[in-house]
Amino acid sequence: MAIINEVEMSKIPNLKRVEITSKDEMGGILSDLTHAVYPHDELYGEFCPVHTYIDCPPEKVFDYMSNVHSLEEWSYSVRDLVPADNNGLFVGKDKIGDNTKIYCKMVTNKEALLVDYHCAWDQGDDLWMIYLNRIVPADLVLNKPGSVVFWQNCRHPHYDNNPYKDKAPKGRPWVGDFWDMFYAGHMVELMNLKRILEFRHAHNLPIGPFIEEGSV
Amino acid sequence: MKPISIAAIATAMPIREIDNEFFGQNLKESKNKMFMGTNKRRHLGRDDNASDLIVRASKKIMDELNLDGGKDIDIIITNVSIPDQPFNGCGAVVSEQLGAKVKYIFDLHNTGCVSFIHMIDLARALMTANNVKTALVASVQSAAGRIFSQEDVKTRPQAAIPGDGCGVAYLVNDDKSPIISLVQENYPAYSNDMYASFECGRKWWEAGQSSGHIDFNPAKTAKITVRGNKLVPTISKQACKEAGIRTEDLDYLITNQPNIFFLRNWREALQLSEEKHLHTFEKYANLFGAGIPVTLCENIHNNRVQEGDIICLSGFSHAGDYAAACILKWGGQAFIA
Repeated sequence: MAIINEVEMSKIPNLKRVEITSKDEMGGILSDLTHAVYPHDELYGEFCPVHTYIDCPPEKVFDYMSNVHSLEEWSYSVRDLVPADNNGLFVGKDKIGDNTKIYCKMVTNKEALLVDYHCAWDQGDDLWMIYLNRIVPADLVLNKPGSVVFWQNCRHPHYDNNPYKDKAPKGRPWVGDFWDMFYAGHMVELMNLKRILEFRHAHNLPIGPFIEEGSV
Repeated sequence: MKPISIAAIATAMPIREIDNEFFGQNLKESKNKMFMGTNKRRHLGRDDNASDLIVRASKKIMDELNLDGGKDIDIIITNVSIPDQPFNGCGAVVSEQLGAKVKYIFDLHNTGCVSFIHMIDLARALMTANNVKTALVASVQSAAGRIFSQEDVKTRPQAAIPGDGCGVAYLVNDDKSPIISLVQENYPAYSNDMYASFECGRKWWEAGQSSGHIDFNPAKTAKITVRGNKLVPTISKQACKEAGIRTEDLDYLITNQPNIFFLRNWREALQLSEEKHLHTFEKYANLFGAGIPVTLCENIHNNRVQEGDIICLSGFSHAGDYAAACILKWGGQAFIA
């Protein structure tokens, strides 16, 4: 048995651990933290997590999401991705903005079922818009076949202040101005992902993305 | 502060009823839920004055309470969204037509959708400090007919949302129908996010090719939505707290009525059922500052609001520059719809 050094622990203020916070006190703390409703910015002000169950095996979900062109199917407005260099960087259009280029690089780990999209508008040198996706086998967490997808986004300071204004098309609103709608926007896209994957899996179709022959 | 009461409340709506057909194909084909939810609205006609509406509503109150204009009105306060005249307000015109001899006239031009509460606050301060006993406060929304019915504006998706109307309240120094608490906040940082907008680039006082309309900063729409979602529940709770009541003690909530989503979100945030949140959005659309008194008056008239009911009036204005709320205990006094 490893014994935790309580003296070391006591040096860190405000920890809530059973040794110093009684169960009775803890009950009050938890009740205090449990509200009936939560303001939107408290839930989604700094981080934007969305998640859903998808009736499609995790390996298929990974294969699909880790193909950059899948974004052209399940995202609302990322289209026309083509390689921008020889190191896996792609460039396409984000049709939510006028004349807006979006750069994107996949960072994946098949064993851990991680698919991260490192992106940015207008330039590809600093990929600061990072969408973190974790796919979890649903049989582990929900005791049923399929997958759970957790998609996280963090409010990088560039959302509030575009450091690359010189590269932005004139008059185009900045992506960060819509942070407050990210929960809604990402949820809509996640539902696209769910519908596409569930449809193809249920109909025994190749998982896609379905790319026109000779188009890439 | 001395208690003040709403002794009577009345409305005057423009005669001209406008249905959705008026706005043409664009509205019919619009899939944006933000601009849905209204069937009808009233428009002020070209030759109609906001002052006419105020006089009409005020006369209902004077008749009902048997008031003598010459001595029973000490203060007139008005707020008209698009004024009759750009230079001088309409309070004096109203006073003249009512035959009133008042001590103060104020024509205010800020606090839009919460102007009714703002004016009650101002009246209360004057009635406390200056030993005046009564006040007539009038909120008129006139932007629908004057701005959004114009040929080059009415096809805009948001043109169907504004509706014109007028609400007038008569305030007195007693505690029969008291304002139990009243809170106001201002957020100057948001004051530039809403403005008059002209395609041809003219200033509002210059001649030009476009009629112009009222617009929000497009880059701020998401922020304004979230702002509005938060401002109204927050200030409503503040007013409840000051009144020493809980939000669940409210019999009714009456807010400004910009669109169906704000209405839904505000009552959700305050955990009030749809039945407790009164509005007239479907029938009169967004009445801006007139929304709160018109909805209050109509619901007193149809017996929904009963003597002793505790009502929270609250809202925010423009792009979030002002928020206000008050708690009213309705004493069952006169009402004239």
